[in-house]
Amino acid sequence: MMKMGAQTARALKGVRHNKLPHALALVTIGLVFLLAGAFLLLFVNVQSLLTAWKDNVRAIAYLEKADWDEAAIADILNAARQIEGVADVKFIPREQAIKDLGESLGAQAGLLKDLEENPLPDAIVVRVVAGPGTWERVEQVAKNLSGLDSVEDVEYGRAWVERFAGFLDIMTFIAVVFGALMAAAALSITAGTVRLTLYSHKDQIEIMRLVGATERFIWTPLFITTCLLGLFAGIFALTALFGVYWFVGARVESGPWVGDFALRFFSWPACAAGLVAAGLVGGLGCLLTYVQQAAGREE
Amino acid sequence: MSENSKDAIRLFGVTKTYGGQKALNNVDIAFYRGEFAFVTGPSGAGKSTLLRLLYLAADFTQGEILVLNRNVKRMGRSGLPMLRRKIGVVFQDFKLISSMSVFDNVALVLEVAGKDRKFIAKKVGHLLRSMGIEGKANALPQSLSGGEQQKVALARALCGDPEIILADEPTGSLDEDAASVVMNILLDYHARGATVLVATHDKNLIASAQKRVVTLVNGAVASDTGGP
Repeated sequence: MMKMGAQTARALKGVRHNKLPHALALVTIGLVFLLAGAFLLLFVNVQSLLTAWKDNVRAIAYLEKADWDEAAIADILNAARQIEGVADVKFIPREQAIKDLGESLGAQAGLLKDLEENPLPDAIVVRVVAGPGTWERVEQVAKNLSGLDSVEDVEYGRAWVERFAGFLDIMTFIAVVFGALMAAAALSITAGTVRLTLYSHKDQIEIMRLVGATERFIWTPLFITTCLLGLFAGIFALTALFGVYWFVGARVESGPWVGDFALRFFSWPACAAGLVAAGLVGGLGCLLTYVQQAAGREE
Repeated sequence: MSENSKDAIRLFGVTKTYGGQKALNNVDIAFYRGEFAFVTGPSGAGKSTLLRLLYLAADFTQGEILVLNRNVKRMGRSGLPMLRRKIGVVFQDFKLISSMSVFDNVALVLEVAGKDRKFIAKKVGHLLRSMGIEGKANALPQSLSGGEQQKVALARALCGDPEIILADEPTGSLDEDAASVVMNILLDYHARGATVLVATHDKNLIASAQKRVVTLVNGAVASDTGGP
């Protein structure tokens, strides 16, 4: 049995002697990986954006109209903090609320000047603990807030939350179905491309058999070649994808994003795992070809 | 059937059909260790088919074949490569790997057998020199003339010091001088103990060598002369 170094040298020699089929295979597989990677990256970012929105869900509890002193406000805040699922609580005095409203109205802020008195109530803004079950938690927190004596009304955008939860479910379903289709297509195209590349070695394989080569001797370098093909196609796809991410990221960074959301690329471990997977997909194509031709020879 | 250690090759009632046509018909024949024999006959007589069966490139329809005392029909897939390494084959169409240099084509046999690089370089270099094609070591086969390709094919067949050499029309594409060189090389290997089987329809070549001649006609042995 030849050492792995010698097998790799034979594999590289084979690539050097068949540059064109290998280059075409590299580009084809690279483009397939690029498409699959682009979908994955889009999914990761949309998921991250939705999570940021979700984690930013707040409930606003409007207080009864009264002159709340500091001690009363502290009591209300403490009561709110005791509610399960509350991450933090902030008191918004009605003066602050009308000021914020004026700022948000911009040029129309003058309309507020005609008001004889501030119609807005004091309020507390409650942010719920992020993570799984956010929607249910928001509803529960809102219900408990309504139960506080000093609270007149609670608003948390129930309809929006329900629509958003439904949208998230649909999006996840579509992503899973589309992702599975993409993965199957990527595997199939890669295996097909690898098979075509190996076809260029068909005569060589036959001759090697006739001079006494074992199947291991014949297929090990081909397996290494296709693993390398997958790996380099993966590097090509990741590099191109990073280029697109960098280009797009530079233009949308200052967009009106929610919470802590920022466009993100795959983490280093994810990139490494992706490259290993790309290599394995290439190798899998070789194994499929080997199994098929072995079955053909048995017939 | 009994195994005879004197036999390099023995066929017992071997028949090979292609789509109902009998390419070989109930052939019984033995070639002894260290023997030099020609297999001749008109085109389509079954010469190449016989050689194909002997270098284990095709299954046969009926009968038994022993090669170096191994029954090829009962041999598992793992045994085939080992047996093939003991057989050097010069193919009629050369079967050189077009993407490999002359040196790599010849060296392949030794790489397959797991020989080290130094040994391979020395052995292949020596063989290419003896064939007069050492200057073509880095050339690709398709850049060579037919005669040169034949020599490369011969060098590859001899490289592993095989016990049996099977040559299918080894001088078919050569001029008289080159054919003489090739024959001398085959005779030299025969003198060193190899069993040599040459399939040819070149009557002059057969006449000049004064060796055993097996004539096939319509897939059957029509005559067998000059044997021990």
